[in-house]
Amino acid sequence: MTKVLFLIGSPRGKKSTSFSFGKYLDEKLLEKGLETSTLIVRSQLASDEKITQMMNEIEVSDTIILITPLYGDCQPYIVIKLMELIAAKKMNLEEKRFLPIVNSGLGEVVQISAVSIPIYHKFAKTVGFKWAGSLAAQAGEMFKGRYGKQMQDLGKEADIMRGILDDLADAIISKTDLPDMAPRTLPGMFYWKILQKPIAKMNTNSWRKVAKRNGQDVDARPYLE
Amino acid sequence: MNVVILNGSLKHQTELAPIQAALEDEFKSQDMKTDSFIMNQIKIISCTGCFKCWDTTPGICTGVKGDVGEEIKKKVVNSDLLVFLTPITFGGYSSELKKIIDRLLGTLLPGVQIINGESHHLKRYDSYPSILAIGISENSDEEEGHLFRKLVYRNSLNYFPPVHKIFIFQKDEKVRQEKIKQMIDEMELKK
Repeated sequence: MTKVLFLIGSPRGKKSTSFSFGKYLDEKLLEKGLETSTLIVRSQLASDEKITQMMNEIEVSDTIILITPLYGDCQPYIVIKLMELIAAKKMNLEEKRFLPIVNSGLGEVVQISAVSIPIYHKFAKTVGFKWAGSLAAQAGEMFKGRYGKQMQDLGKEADIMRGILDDLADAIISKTDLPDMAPRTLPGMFYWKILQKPIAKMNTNSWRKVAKRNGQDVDARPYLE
Repeated sequence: MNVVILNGSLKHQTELAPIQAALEDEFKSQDMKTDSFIMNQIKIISCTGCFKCWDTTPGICTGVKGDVGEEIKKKVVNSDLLVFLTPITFGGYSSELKKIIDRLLGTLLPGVQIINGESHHLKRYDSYPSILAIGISENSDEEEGHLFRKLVYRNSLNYFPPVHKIFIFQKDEKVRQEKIKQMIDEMELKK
């Protein structure tokens, strides 16, 4: 029986868009009778024992789905650490399918596809994973994962993303290899060029409001000498 | 002129030590004050993605406590040149280097601006250090080198260095002081 392992690479753990994507996919696979497990990478790196447990899970799984945010144009620290550990272990990974899903709060897919996905390609090739495709999901902030929202709980704004994840689940179930996908994840108007600057301004203002609510000036310049 | 060197060697890796030493010698000879950090010898707690450095204590990480991450950030904020030393890791930075880079998020503002059709975070400070990124390649892998250059370029779009340069050393390459001097000269740092 196929066993699918979800590795959640967000430092935020369960309160993350990465986790909500994983949970949504997981439920789709469970409905079809696949065996799955989910590990939070940050928690698993906490001790040698947990690292061994994570490596053992990789060894007994057929498909590894690594779901991560984009941090500073590439992988967050915990994911690079995971990749280094896998490479150092020199496991036989040849028959294992590997599919990374990367989400970024920013609105352009190039932020993900320029470096992060190619790094995963290089990693998979180096350690011997079989590349099964990838998904670059921009505007991840819209899915409110950091507030603990799950994809199932969201309204119409998440219809497109849920549809993308449904198709992805079908491909995982049928073991169909996918291309490197970078579909539009939001309704069309979000991509209108004329709205790009107003949306950026709204985003900026929303952070300013939250900081103000916390009694802070978002533009503070600490540490300057 | 202030320089911060962040050495991202993994434990037991020694190839970056002579490069760090040669850089320090050169900076000293040019009267540049250098603070060097070998990341695998320092306790740094990794970024938890809490965004407190954006919305709760802007510019200051209060999401993790009990390490020297903020001290390093303060040095970076007040530096003119930031040097990344790293073994090239699948085309990117090592985990040790990325651990501290992730912690520098608060040096940017959470809000975004559109530059050449792309969203990039706004500046928190008027000026940012130039970036000199030096990677060690284990096996002269061109693909890795290309990716590394692209990553530093992408970072340069987000971290606003006045100048950024990328140099790649091969693992067994002898470090020559004149090459190090040439690299620094190429940065054309304003003194």
